[in-house]
Order: sequence, then C-alpha cells, then structure tokens
Amino acid sequence: MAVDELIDLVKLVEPSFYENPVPIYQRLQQEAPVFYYEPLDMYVLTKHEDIRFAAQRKDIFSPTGGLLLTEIMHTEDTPLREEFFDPAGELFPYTDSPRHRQLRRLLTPAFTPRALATMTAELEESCRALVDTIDANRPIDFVEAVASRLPILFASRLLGTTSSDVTRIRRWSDLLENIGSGTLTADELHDVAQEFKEMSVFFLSEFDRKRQHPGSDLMSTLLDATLDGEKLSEAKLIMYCTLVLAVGTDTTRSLLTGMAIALARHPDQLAQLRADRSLMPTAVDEALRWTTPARGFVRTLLTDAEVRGQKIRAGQRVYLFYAAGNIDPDVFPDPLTFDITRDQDISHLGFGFGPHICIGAQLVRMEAAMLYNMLLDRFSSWELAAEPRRLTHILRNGWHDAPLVFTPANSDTPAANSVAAARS
Amino acid sequence: MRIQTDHSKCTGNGLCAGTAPTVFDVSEDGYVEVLQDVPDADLEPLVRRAAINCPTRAITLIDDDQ
Repeated sequence: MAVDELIDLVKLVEPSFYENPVPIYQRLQQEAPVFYYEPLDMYVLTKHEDIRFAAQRKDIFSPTGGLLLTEIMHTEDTPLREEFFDPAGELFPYTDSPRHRQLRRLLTPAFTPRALATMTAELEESCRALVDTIDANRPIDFVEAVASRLPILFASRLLGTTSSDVTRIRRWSDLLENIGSGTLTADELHDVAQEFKEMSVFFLSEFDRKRQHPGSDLMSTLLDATLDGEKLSEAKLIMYCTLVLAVGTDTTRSLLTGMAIALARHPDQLAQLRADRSLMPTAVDEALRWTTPARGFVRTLLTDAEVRGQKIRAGQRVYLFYAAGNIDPDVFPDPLTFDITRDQDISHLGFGFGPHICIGAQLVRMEAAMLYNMLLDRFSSWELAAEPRRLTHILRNGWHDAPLVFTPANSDTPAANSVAAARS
Repeated sequence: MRIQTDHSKCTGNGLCAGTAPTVFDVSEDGYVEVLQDVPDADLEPLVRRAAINCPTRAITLIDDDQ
C-alpha cells in the first residue's frame, strides 16, 4: 500500500513539490527505486548506481526525446526548443553519438585543466574585484552581489565577450533558465523567445568584432574551427555561445549560494576549511552534492532495456533524478549531513555522468575554490542574517536571495592561506 | 597496477586530470594522456578514483595479479 501512496505524493511537475522533496526521495529509494510515473510514461530513477548506468549507456538512453520535464509535458504544443534555437544550430546536449561527440569536441579543449590554468590570472582578477565589493559587518544579498555575477564574469572571460554586457547576459541566462521552471505562461514563453532574438543579434556583432581582432578566447577558437569540413555556421556559433553563457550561469549561481549557506549553517566546518585549505576540493564537491543545482534530466529509450529488474520499452522515458541520487545512503553514508571531509571516492551526480556530463565541471570546481579561498582569506566567517528564499523551479535548486553578514579577518584569526601555499 | 585508456570512449573532460594531475592530463588533441602508466603505489587510490569517476568509462585498471 506504500507504493499506492507514493503515486499521490510524487508530483514531479509541480514546482511546490520541491519545497520538501527529501522524504519522498528517500521513500522512492527504499520502496520503488525504479518508479513508474504514469503522467509522463516515465520511470523515475533515484538510486545513484541506476542513474549512472542510464547516464553512461548512451546506446540505450538518449536525450533526443527531450531533456527537461517541462519539455516532455507540453506534447501538444510546439516543441520549446524550436521557439528559441534554430534547429540548424544542433544543440549538442540533445544529440546522440557520433554527432554529439563531434559537436562537443569543439568546446572541450577550452574546459580542460590545462586550458583553464592559462586563464588563472584573468579569472583571479575578476574574482578579486567582486570580493572587493563585499561590505563587511552588514547584511548583503550574496546572490545579487556575488553568486549571480561571478559565473557570468568567468563565462564572459572564457568566451571573450566584453564585460560591460554582464547585465544583459544575466537577463538572458535567467530567461533561458525559466524555460525549465514550470512556472511560465505561454505569453511569457513568447517574450523569452523575443529576448533570445536580441541575444543572437548581440553575438553576431561580437563575432564581427572578433573576426577583426581575434584572440586566444573561445569565441575566436570557434570562429576558426571547422566541422563537416567547413567553418561553423552562424546558427552553430550562436548555439555554442548561448550554451556557454547561459547554461552554466544559473546552475553555478546556485552552487556558489548553496556553499555559502551550507558553510554559514555549519560554522565549525567553515572554520575548519579556513584553517586547512587542502580541504577545499572536497568541500566544493560536498557543496555540489548538497546543492545539486540541476535536479535531474530526462532520457528516452532507444531500445527495450531493464533497470534493476524493471523492464522498460523503447520510447518510454527515464528520469535521472540527480537530487535523489545525491542522497543515496549506499554511496553517501549519513547522506543528509553536510560534511566537507566526506570521502569522494564515488563522485556525486551534481554534474551528471556519462558522455553528457557537465562540460564546465572543471571550470566550476576551479571557480568555487577560487572564490571561497578569497572569501576565507578576506573574512573569518559569515552568518545568515535572514532565511534565504528558495526558488520555485522544477529543474533548478536555488535561491532568490541569501542575506549574509561577513566578518572581516583580523590578526586574532589569521587565514591559513600562506601556510597552505607554502605546503603545496 | 597498469593503466589503459580507450580514446574511442574518452571525451576529453579532464576529470581524471583534476583527480590525479601527476598521472593524467588532457593533450592538445583533446584525449586523455597517461603520464605514468604504472603509477607509484601511493597514487593508486587517486588513480582508482579517477577510473571509477570517468564519465565514459575510458580508463581501465589492470591489477598486477591479472
């Protein structure tokens, strides 16, 4: 009878479901780890092992039938993708191999550790300038002041766009994000499509500028790249730039905010991290697990298959429920506890898995580590001044605001950064 | 332990290089490059972690007794 109750409780396409979803995630894992969600003819996967299996078996599980719950809900309407993206652009997250691999490989060299290392000085400059704007000892909104800005500054540096366009870019990335929110009306969606046309105009003028003065940035690299024996079409150039600029900004915003909130709520761990920066990589990954900015994505089966003994037919779907997989006790003991020293032998699903794993993973890790090292150098601690307001959004776990008060570092609580630097 | 990699699976994400930078790198052509194909014993835990977490399962570890 427990499974019957679950049918009433699992409201995947209602944004309000995500106000308190964890007890349902746990019941799904315990009672129905491959749960049939009838409204979308879709099996919901909540075990870490099963999600990894489905994410990695690209021969079975495909993104071509849609990635977002909001996309597969609107089966009668025009597919949302075509409203915003010229199909000639070939959005690579929606493609299968071998084409997926060909498309993605034009971007991956810009995101490797080696490539990112060449950008360190520039990125540190952007990060430091932002941290400099933080007023200590009074409440500031961390989302507005820092978390929403840094990802755009980094993506802009990576692409080579002019930084004065941060405000516009932020609006576009928010609008793109809203496609997956589940809260937009049809009229609002049409407004978003209009904004996208403006964004395309912006990029076209940027491309002209870069052609006159090429650099070592990603836009210049893309302008020079070839695919199918030709230079990239405008539709493809716009696709790549839109994805880099928009897809990583809101998700990274959530992560940076989630990490600030988690550390504020666990001041002993904030102090521990401050004193021992060698913990920073595991702290960032724990924040990713804890926050899971993108809750999950859809796959459609190309062939009949079986997951944990459950037969699933070609054409049916699965939901890779990362948010649930990230609290799977079989992988993360005591999963509801935030622990910056947590063993990272099996990685979280915050970036997904398989060939469609987040292309920005290494950039995000670098960005969060850089920001939090600077914050912990500059400030000895921070606290919540008020309860942060959660977003109402099917896909994204995030916050409208996060009021924090930062306490400046002084000689009584020296940062460990110089010691850590000497040790490394 | 010996490391084998499969370039037909590798998509050049660099997660392995992030986990064990003295053992893995991503070369200019966008594929994993193994810097020590028989890694030092003290690096084995990180190498195992890199292999487990490779999103496309492009890294295989051959243990010494195999």
